[in-house]
Amino acid sequence: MARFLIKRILLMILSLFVIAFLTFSLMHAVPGGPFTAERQLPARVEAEMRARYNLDAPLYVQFFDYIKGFLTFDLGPSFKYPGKTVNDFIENGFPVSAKLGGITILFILAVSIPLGIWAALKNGKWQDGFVMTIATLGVTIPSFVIATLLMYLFSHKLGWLPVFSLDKWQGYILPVVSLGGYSLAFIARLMRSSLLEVMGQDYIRTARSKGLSEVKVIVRHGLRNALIPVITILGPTIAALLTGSFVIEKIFAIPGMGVYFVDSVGQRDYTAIMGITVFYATFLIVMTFIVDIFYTIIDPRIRMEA
Amino acid sequence: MSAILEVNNLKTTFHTGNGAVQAVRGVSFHLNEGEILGIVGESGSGKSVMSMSLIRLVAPTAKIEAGSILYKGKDISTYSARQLRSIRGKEIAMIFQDPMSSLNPVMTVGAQVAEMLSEHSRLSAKERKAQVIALFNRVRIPEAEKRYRQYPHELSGGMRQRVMMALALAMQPGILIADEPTTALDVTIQDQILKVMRQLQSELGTSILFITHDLAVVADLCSRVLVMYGGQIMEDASIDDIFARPLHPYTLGLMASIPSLEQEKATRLVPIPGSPPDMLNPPAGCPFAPRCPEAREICLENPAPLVDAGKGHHSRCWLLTEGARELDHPFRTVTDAMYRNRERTEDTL
Ligand SMILES: Nc1ncnc2c1ncn2[C@@H]1O[C@H](COP(=O)(O)OP(=O)(O)O)[C@@H](O)[C@H]1O
Ligand code: SF4
Ligand SMILES: [Mg+2]
Repeated sequence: MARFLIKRILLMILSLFVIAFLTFSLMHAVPGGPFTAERQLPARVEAEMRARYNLDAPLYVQFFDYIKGFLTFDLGPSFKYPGKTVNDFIENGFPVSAKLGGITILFILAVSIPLGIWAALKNGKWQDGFVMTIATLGVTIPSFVIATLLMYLFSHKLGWLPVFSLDKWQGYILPVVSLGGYSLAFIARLMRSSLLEVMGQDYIRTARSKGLSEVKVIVRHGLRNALIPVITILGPTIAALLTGSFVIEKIFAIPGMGVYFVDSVGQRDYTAIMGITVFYATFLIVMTFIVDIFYTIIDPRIRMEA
Repeated sequence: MSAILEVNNLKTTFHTGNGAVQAVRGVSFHLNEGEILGIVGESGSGKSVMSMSLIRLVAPTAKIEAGSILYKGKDISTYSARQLRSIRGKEIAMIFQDPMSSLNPVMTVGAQVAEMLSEHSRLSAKERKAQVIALFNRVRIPEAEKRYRQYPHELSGGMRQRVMMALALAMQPGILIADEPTTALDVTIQDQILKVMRQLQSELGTSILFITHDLAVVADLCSRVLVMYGGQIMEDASIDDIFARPLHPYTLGLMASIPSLEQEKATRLVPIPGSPPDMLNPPAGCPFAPRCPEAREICLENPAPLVDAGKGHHSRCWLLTEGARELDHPFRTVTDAMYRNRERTEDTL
């Protein structure tokens, strides 16, 4: 157990290092730099800027400067917004994204899992067909289309829901539905197929042969097994939702992490790219780790072995 | 001897996308109090579906019809789902073929057995645990206390089948249905399991329906046997009688595939040539006709009658009827070729 944890943590650090390195290399391989603009800066000014942000140092020195910064949770100053640090971006953006993401996750879990179970129990009946049709639409229609349609219908046409304001709870409805639509549909489908498969297993027949009611068979023997694949994809899904979606944040004008990140890429804001990528990667890796621990709790066949 | 179970004209049909699979087609038999009744037949004969139909454990696509299924005189075929649940496990318990997949992988084996007790009795958690450990000892599971807390994947196949036995016997049911309980296990484990089963049977007096495709195991364990093929019973007799005078060509075919003692080393079953009928379109006449070396024209079109051969021995074959032996063999050439091939493969083994 202890060995497992140590090994996992070392692996996580190594993965982060590799991710940081790849991001750094790609960032520098892409043409253009933070001070490339339509109007050429005077050579003297640019040289001064480059010196100030340490861009003249050899690349490996720059890289290890970043790493040193990460270790002290100092992600450096933004190149594009003088006076602002990348830490500021994250401190401002992340709570906004995380709140929206957190609500979305609760919404997804509360809806998709019961829906998947219901569809599985009504396998082949109209209720199943109905859920599956909606779910198939949900995984195929891109989120920006859903968002635009919902906005048009509920805000523009019917005027029921506000857009562009997270002050009131109603303001969350459309972003949450648009952001969570895909995962909701995906998890509902996964839950359904997983439960259907489990209910055909021999141990379900054994459970029935004991004289258990169908409800007990499903709850005690079916669900716990059927949830295993769902939990596997929950880790990355949660990480992705908490760290924000560029598309949804752009459409609903939400000042979250997603928007900062995409802007920083477009503007070659080197420190911001590095900082946000590493932040995102850390988050994803830690979530996956937590899910793996859950996994060993729910499925005794998986052992915490190094 | 009175019958604890009496089944009349049981039929089970699966309604699938391809049509109706007639897995069981009118089976009648009885199980006496305290006896071990064997059911033999090749894979696909309908043994599992027949036995699971007794307590409606078959897939929901199946339609079960029965004249009656009398358990201790009560017709359980008319029971509601709720009434039937009080029979399952408590009165009629089952052990399945594959011990690897028959236990829930995310629940300790102890909890899975204890669940049976909590469903049908009013014991405290502590009493349940003590009873499960007593059951584990009874089916000769070593270190019962430790096993109680283990998960199925931590046990060997033989141990898991013992857990299944402990589960099935937990409520001291009137009938134990054992569906090929040793088929998935290797030979030494198989012997141990059979030994435990025989012991339990003599201690508890449970009536057992023992399903197998191996006549040798039946000879060893059972007092009577039903030979099943194509969803029907082909022959039924006491063990002594069936080996003394097998009447049905299918039974003879099964017997030819028991390895004799000298052969034991090179144990390789010699199957009957051909394969069991497709139950989507079962043959109109005798289901064995396409593979039967004795088949006559009458066998193809007309279901064979069940002939009483005395001493409780019955056989479903036209040959036992007046004058049938004198009829021509229309398939002689086909079946002869099939059986010649079989001898050739036998030589090469
Ligand atoms: N769920 C099912 N759906 C359709 N056909 C089935 C199903 N289960 C069993 N069968 C068919 O019923 C017949 C008898 O099967 P089974 O009782 O398992 O045979 P045995 O136990 O003698 O090997 C086979 O032809 C099999 O294909
Ligand atoms: S009825 Fe005919 S085909 Fe069937 S077993 Fe007897 S002889 Fe063979
Ligand atoms: Mg079977």
